[in-house]
Amino acid sequence: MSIVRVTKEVVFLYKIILQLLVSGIAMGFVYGLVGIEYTLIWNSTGLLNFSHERIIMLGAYIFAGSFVLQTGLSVLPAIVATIIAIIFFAVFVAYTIFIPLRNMSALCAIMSTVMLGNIINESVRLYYGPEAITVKGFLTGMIRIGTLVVARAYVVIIFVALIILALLLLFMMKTKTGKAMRCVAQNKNASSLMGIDVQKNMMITIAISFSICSIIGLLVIPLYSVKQSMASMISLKGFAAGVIGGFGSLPGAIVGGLFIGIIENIAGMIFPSTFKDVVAFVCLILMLLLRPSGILGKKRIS
Amino acid sequence: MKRTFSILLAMMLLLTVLAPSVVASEETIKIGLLATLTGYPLNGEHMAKGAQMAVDEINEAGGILGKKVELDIQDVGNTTDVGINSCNLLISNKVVSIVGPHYSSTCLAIENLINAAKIPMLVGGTSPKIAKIDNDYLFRIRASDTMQAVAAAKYLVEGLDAKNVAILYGSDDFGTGGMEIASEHFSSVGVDWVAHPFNNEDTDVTTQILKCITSGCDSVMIWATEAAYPIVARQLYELGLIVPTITNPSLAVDSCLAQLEQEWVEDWYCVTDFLTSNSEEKVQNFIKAYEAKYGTEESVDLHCAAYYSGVKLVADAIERAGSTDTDAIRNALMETKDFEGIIGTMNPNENGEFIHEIILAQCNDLKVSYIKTIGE
Amino acid sequence: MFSRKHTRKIYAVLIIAALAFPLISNNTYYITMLCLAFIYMIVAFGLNFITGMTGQVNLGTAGIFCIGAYTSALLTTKTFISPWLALLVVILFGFVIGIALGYPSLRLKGVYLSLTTIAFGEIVRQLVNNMTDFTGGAHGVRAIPPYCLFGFELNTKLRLYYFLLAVTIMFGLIAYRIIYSKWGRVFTAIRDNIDAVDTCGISSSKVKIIAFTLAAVFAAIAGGLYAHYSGYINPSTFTLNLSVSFVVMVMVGGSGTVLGSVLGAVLVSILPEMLRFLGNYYQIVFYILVFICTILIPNGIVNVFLERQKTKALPEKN
Repeated sequence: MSIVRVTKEVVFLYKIILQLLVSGIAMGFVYGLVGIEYTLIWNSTGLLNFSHERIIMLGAYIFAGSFVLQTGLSVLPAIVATIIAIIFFAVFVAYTIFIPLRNMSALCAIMSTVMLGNIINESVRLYYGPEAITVKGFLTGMIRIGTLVVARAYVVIIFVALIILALLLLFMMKTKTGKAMRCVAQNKNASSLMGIDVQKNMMITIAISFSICSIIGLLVIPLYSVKQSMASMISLKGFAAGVIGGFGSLPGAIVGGLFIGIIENIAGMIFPSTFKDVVAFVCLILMLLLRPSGILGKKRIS
Repeated sequence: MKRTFSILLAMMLLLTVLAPSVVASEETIKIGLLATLTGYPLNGEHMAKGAQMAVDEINEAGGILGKKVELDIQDVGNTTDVGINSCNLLISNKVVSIVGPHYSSTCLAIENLINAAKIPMLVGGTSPKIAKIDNDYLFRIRASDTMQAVAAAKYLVEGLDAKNVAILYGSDDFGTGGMEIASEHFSSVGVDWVAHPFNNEDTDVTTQILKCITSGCDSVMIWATEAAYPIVARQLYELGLIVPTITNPSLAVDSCLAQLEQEWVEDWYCVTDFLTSNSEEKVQNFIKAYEAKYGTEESVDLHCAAYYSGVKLVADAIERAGSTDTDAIRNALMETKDFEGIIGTMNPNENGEFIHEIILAQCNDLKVSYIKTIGE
Repeated sequence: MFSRKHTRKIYAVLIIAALAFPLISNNTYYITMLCLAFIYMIVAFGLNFITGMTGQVNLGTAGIFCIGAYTSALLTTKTFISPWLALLVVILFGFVIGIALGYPSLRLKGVYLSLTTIAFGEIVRQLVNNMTDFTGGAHGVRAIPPYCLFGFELNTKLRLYYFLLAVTIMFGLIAYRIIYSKWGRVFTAIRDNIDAVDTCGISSSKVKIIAFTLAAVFAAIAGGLYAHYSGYINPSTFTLNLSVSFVVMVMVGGSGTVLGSVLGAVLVSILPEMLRFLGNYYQIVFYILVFICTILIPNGIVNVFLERQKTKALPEKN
C-alpha cells in the first residue's frame, strides 16, 4: 500500500471521528441538561421526577402547538410565553404533588410521578391530537467548517446548555435563594431551623427544573419534531448521564452527558449501529458497580 | 375521615371491575375495526374516520340486506396483550368481520383467534410473514412489503441505475421486513448493498449515515415508519449524502411531509398505495367527500383510504353472500372480482391479498406527484 | 376489619369463584383476560418480596419476564424440546438473573437500584429486538407450542384457563408460606430497619439476595407461561411500561400480602378493559384512578380493609 493511500484513509477516518464527536457532544449536552433538570428536583425534594420525559414533551407541544401554530406568535415571544406557562404548571404540580409527596416512601413517590407523566401524555394526545407537528424553519440549517458539517440546532444546543449551567451556578453561589437551595439540598431539617422556607424553596426549584425541561423540549424540536415519544430516549439517557457524572452534582451531569454522547457514537461505529442505544445503560450499570459516586462525585453513597 | 374515603375509593374501584359491559342491539350488522388509538405510533384516528365514513355512506344508501351497519371501534394500543383483548372483545360482540389492525405484529398475534372464531379479518399489516400464514380467514387490503420493497428496489436498479445501494431501515418488524426483501433483490441482480438499522427511538443517526458514506454508496433506500423521517432526512441532507433516494409509503403521508423541510427531500422517490395528487376520478371524489365530512384541515392519507375501502369491500361481500354468516362472507370475499377500492383494484389471490399494484411517486417542493403505477 | 382468619375465607371464595367462572360465562374475551391476569399474578407474587416487603423499587421486571418468555419460546420452537423441559431452563435462568441483580442491590439503595433495574430492562429489550438472527428481532417468535399435560394439549382457552389457575394457586400458596415464614418477617424488617436486622445476627445481604432470586424466578416462570399462553411474542410487549404495571399491581393491590397481588393483577389487567366504554378517554381515566390510589392509599386496597397491626404504614423517609 502506498503512503499516499494510507494518509488518505487516515484523513478520511479523522474526518469521520470529528463528525461523530460533533454530534456526540451536542447530544451529550442534551443528556446533560436532562441530568441537571432532574438533579435539581432530587437535591431539593429527594424525589426522582419520572415524569420529566412528558414535561419536556409538554413544553414542546405548548410552544409549537399552542403558541406558534394556534396563536401565531413569532418565535421569541412564544418561547417566553411557553416558559411562563410551564412555570405556572410547575407551581401547580409542586403544591399539589411534589411537596405533599416528599415524605412518602420512595415507591409511592416514583409511582406517582410515573402516573403523572402518563396523565400528561394522554392529555396531550387528547388535546393536540395524535399527529406529529413541527415548527418550520425553527433552528434549521447548518454551518460548514472546512469539511465538517454542524447543524445550527447543535450549535444552539451547546450554547444554551452552557448558558443555563453558568446561570445556575451563579444563581446557586451568589443569590440568597440559591444559597438556600444548596442548604436545603444538604439538610432539610437544619435549613428549616435556620429560617429557610423549605416549601417555597422546593417550589422555586421545581419551577426552574420544569423551565429547563421546556427549554430542552424547544431545543430538540428541529431534531425530532414534536411528537409524543420525542423525549423517551433522551430522558432515560439523561438519568444515566446524571449518575455517571456524579449523582447530585450539576457540572457532573454535563460531564456524564458528554461521556455518554461521545461513547455511544464511537461505539455505534465499531459495533452494529442499533446496539448504540444499549451503550448508555451498560455504562450506567458498570459505573454503579465500579464507582457509584460517578466521575465527579466525591462522597460514597450510603 | 381519610380512612373512610380510602375505603370508598377502594370499593369504587372494585365495583368498576365487576360492572357489566354494554350490550348492543341485535338489529344491526356489526363490523369491527381494530385501530391504534392510544400507544405508539398513532394512526388509529384516521383509520377510524375513514372506516366511519364508509359506514355512514352505506347506511345513507339504505344499509346492507335491509339492515343498518354499525362500526365497533376498539383500541389495540399497539401491544400484543391489548390487541388480543380487543380482538376477543370484537368476537364476543358478534361482529361479522374485522377490519384492521394496521401493524403486522398485532396481526400476527391475533390471527389464530380469528381463525378459531371463523371471522374474516382484513388487515393492513404489510409484513411478508402474513402471506405465509395458513389462515383462511386472513385477508390483506394493502400492497404487501414484498411488492412495495421489490418495486422500490427494481426502480433503483433499473430506473435510477444504482450500482451500490445503502439501505437505512428501522429495526422494527416493518423496517426489517422491507430490508430483507430489498437486499434479496439486490443480491439476485448483482448490485452491491449495505444495510444499516436504527431504532425508532433513536436520537441521532450520524453513525449510520457515516457508515453508508464510507461504503461509497451511489443511492439510498429508506424503509421506516413516519417517525424516523424528520431525523433521517435531515441528517442525510446535513451530512451531504445527496444521492437518488427511494422510500416506503411514509413519505407520501401528508403529516410526515409536514415535518420535513423542502431541501431535505427534494427529488426523492417513494412507492405508495395512496396519493392525494393521483388524478384518478375515484381518488379525487374520495378526497372531496372526506373533506366535506371532516373539514379541509384534516389531511387525507392512506390510512383513511385503505380502511374506507376495507369496510366497503366487506359490505360488498356481505351483499353478495346474501347473509351475515361469516363463512359465507369469507367465501364471497374470496370470489371478489375487480372491486374498485380507493387504493387500487381489489382482486384476491390464494393468500387473500387484495392489492396488486403500487404507485411510484416523486417528491418535488414538498409535493408528492404521481409518476406511474407498477403492477405485480 | 378483617383478620388473617377472614382472609383465608376470602381466598376460598376467590378460588371457588375462579373455578366456577367458565361455567357461568364461556366468553373467550373474559377467559383470556383472566388467563393474562393469572400470569401477572405470579409476577406480582414475586415482585411483592422485593418491592412490597423489602421496599426496593424494581423497575426491570419486564426484562426478567422477557428473558423467561424468550427462553421458553426459542427452546421449544428451535430445538423442539418439551415446554416442560424448557421451563426447567427458565427457572435456572431466573435463578441466575436473580443472583446477578441481587448483588448490585447490596451496594445500591433506593433510586440507584431503580435506575439500575430500568437500565437492565432496557438492555434486555434492545438486545432481544436487535439480535435478529437469534431472537427473530422485531418479527417476534411465532407458533409457540402449548403445554401438554397427561397427554392433553392445552390448546383450548378453557384448558389453559384451568391450568393457569392451578399454577397460580400453587405459586400463591408458596408466596403465602414465604410471607408468613421467618424469611418473610426478615424481608419486612429490612424495609423497616436494616440496621436492626444486622444487629440481630441475620445477614441482611443474604436475605436481600434471596428476595431478588425469588422475585426473578417467579417472573421468569410467568414469562415462560406467557409465551405458551400467547403463542406469539415480540419485543414490543416487554417495555418499561410493563415493569411499571407490575409495580402498580403490587402497590395498588396491597403490598406485603398475597391477596393484594391477586387484586392488583386483576385490577391492572381488567380495569382498562372495563373502561373501554369511555372511548377515547379510557386510558386517561385509568391512569387518573391509579394516580389517586398511589397518593391516597399508598399501602394498597387490601391493606385498607386488613387489620392495622399486620401491615403498618410504609415508613416515612429519613
